[in-house]
Amino acid sequence: MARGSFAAGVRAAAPIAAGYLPAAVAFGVAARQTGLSAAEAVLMSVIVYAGASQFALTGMIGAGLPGPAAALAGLAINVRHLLYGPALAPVMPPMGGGGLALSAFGLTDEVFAVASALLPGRPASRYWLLGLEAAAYGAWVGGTWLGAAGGGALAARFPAAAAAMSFALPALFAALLTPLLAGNGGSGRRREAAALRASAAAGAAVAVVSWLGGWQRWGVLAAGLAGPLVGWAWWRRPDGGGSGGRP
Amino acid sequence: MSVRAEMVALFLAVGVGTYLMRAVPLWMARRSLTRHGGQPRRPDSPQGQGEEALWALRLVTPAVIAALLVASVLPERGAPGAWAHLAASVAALVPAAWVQARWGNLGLTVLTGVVLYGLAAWAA
Repeated sequence: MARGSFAAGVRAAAPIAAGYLPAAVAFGVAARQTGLSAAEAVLMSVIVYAGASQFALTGMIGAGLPGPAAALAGLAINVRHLLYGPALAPVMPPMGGGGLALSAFGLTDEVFAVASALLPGRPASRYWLLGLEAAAYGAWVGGTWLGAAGGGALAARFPAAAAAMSFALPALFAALLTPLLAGNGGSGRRREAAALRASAAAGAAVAVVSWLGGWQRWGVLAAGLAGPLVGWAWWRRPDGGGSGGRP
Repeated sequence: MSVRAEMVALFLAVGVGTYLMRAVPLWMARRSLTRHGGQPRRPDSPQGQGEEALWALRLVTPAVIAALLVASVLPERGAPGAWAHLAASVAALVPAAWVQARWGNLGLTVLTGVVLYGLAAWAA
């Protein structure tokens, strides 16, 4: 029963792994290009296991941002993860403290999306969720190793391809930003989407101003402070009806 | 296979912080559900208001990702070929965002962006 549930979870992770592998390979290559060793790139995937902040960390390490500032910016990107546990908890199978601690580690964006969609229709088994998470984690760490170990040789042999791979970082950010900005559903959803868009626009504007002023190192942190304030103000504005209704 | 101590410290700081952001709300939600017999909370309960505060935290993510996107695309000021790089970036980002909106596949979007950027940079 446990083995069958675990295997079913692994099978359910196939779309996640298909998405993770190229992104992880690109991360491994990008990490090497910013001066990280292959071991450091793999270690980051093993410990951090959060794609967007890993890409951001490599960029900030490459730009020479001080460690504490890089850590803060890396954590700021992952703030959305605070929402996943409360949203998933009602449909999660019964499990003890150890299982809960283990399953929390693998709660990435994509795992959350698949688990929240599939768990309600499944017989309760913690092994299914652990199988889903283990396969996704393996794809991410394995892909990083492939990119970090083989990426250097590929870059030397195919410099044009290496230059193109350096665009994986902006492409990933675009991939993460697009669904955040898409508005759908009722008026509450539209207002939420408008606030998210306002926050993103403010963040982008702060980054441009930082670039113009020559303070690129601090642009991301400043955006992380200014963007939410603008988004919150947008959501609370009187004609937006922000004081009523669930966001 | 060198690993610098300051890198390990950085990875641990972000890794532990990220883990706590995933684990603590999950643990609290499960504990709350157990206390309420597995029933969903009322939206006007203190926990419901707490969820609203959590929602507000979501505003951090688009701001930071948008800033990272802009910073990763903007060229080094005065660098040769800066505007060609910017044009190639925009030419790759627009279709990549469309692919993400259409299919919602992270890997496909990254692949689209990388290939189109490579082609645009080669053509420039």
